[in-house]
Amino acid sequence: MEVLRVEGLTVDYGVGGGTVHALRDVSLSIQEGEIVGVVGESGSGKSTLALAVSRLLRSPPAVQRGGSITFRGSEISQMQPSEIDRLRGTGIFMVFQDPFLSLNPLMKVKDQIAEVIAVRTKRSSSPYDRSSAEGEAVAHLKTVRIGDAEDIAERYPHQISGGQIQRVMLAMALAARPQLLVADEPTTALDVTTQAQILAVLKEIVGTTKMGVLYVTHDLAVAGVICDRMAVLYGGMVQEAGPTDKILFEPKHPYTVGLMNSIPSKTKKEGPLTAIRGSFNPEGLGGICSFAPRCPLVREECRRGIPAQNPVDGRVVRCINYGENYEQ
Amino acid sequence: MGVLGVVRQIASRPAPLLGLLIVAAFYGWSLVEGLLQLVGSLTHNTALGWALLQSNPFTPSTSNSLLPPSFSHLMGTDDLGRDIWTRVLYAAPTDALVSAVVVGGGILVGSLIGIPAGYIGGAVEEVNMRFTDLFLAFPALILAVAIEATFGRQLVYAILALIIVWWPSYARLFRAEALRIKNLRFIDAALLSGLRDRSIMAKHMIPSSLNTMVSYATIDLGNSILVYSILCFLGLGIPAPAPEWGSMTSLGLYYFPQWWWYSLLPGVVITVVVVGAALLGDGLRDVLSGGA
Repeated sequence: MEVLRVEGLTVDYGVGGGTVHALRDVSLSIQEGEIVGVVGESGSGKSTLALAVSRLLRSPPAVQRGGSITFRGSEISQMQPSEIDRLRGTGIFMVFQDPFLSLNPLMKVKDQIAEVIAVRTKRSSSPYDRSSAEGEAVAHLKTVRIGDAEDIAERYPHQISGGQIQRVMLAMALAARPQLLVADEPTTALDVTTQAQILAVLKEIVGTTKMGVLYVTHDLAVAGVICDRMAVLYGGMVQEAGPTDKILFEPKHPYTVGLMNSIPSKTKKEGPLTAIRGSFNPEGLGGICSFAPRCPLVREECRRGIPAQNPVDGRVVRCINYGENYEQ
Repeated sequence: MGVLGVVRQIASRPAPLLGLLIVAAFYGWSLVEGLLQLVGSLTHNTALGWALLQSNPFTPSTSNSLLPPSFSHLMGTDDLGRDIWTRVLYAAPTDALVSAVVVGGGILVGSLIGIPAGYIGGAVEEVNMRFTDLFLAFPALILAVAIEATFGRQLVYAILALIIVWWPSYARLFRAEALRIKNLRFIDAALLSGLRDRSIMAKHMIPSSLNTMVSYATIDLGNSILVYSILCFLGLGIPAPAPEWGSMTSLGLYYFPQWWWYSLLPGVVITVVVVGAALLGDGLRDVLSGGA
């Protein structure tokens, strides 16, 4: 069953008179029990996508210009706040990038998890019992591999580490039992060992609960470990999307190829590291391929229009090298 | 940092420590004396109200009138020969009650108006904050005088009048805090947990904003005593013969400057408590904001 479908999503930010196109014609879908990665560099629009799906975009300045976001068959991008409230928690839950302040500093860990359990039990109209909710909170903390869960449950957020806070957020996700978890770079602020542990826990949770996960990251290695499918975002557009193996091992789009070539090899001496030339500049991209200014294969035709998505070898690629089609 | 930790940090510097001692002595004494007065009046045994005092604060003694400060009369005596220090002590619970209720009421009303204004924004913010501006537009003291003059000279009306002029500044403070807090990640997390706006405001916004309120409210305890004393000074407090700091200062003016202690010393007591609250509030702000 399909949990999320994003179709042609276009989001602009109105900043100081002008507009910045954060997302242009972004489409993706997530099935039950599937982890879909969204990979991109800073400014690619990946966090905007995560916030748009969880309906946390601040408007203004963000404006949804077009497209639809469908959660389990119902369109959520035009819903009233009260309808959104009913979807949150048990429907869509989100884990943030920055563990700092993602928990209320005045509440104990167990109270914060219990709050989610209270919402869930109230919605399923079963009786809520405080002490059993606290017991459940501790059980979730154990599931996310927090050592000494009983002790951590009694602490305040400032008394635990960033990695532990991210695990508590995952425990809250477990307690909420959402159908869709939006994870916005949840391991970026953590060290590599903790990152690996949290990814393992997340994968295990997805295996048992069948929730769909939208996993946003800038780290190709992380995406390779955890995602079933992925979409590479650049300049607010999906440049290449398909199964993780296809994209990582046989990249087609010049941007993805550049990204893969920039990963230093562990085994051979390469000399200077390879990089994609230039840097992302959102200006002057209207109407042409957004990667054209930095593309090594750029030619005249790249500036004729925005390339359409071409189906190639089990994935879609937005590049005229795979068929000279343009968006209308 | 627990309450004990805060007290320890306050006590480590002289000015906040002085403030803490003054405020603690004032409210500590007021609690004891206030309970005695309350039990005394409930059991029709009003003498209990001055059981701890050196004399009856009401009984005139004309032979002792207008004596200067001495060891037997620390602040001298008034025109009717009553010991002024005794009357100051007897009046303390009233000022303690007024300050606590006025500041507490101000915080309560202010949070109910200010938090939704900051958190929800839009029309709610416009309506709530223009309503607040309406009250701020009146000079506070004149509004309080008008309210009391309309309803009558009773402690309840005095407190009510003070709350009415007191809440607007808290409404503004709470709105500013709400604007700050609503952009923090944990409010998003609470939203994502499926909490309704009302429980987010009650469970997450109000507790988080109280930190800022504590230091402001402490300074404000002194201010409310000052304004209440001004009301009494203008003859709008509780009626005679009940003693009150502001009205004692006012009555003593007839005997100024020859019998200076009658007016001046109750005024000094007001000043000491107000300054004590300000010193403590300043210290609390430094400790709670994590600085200095």
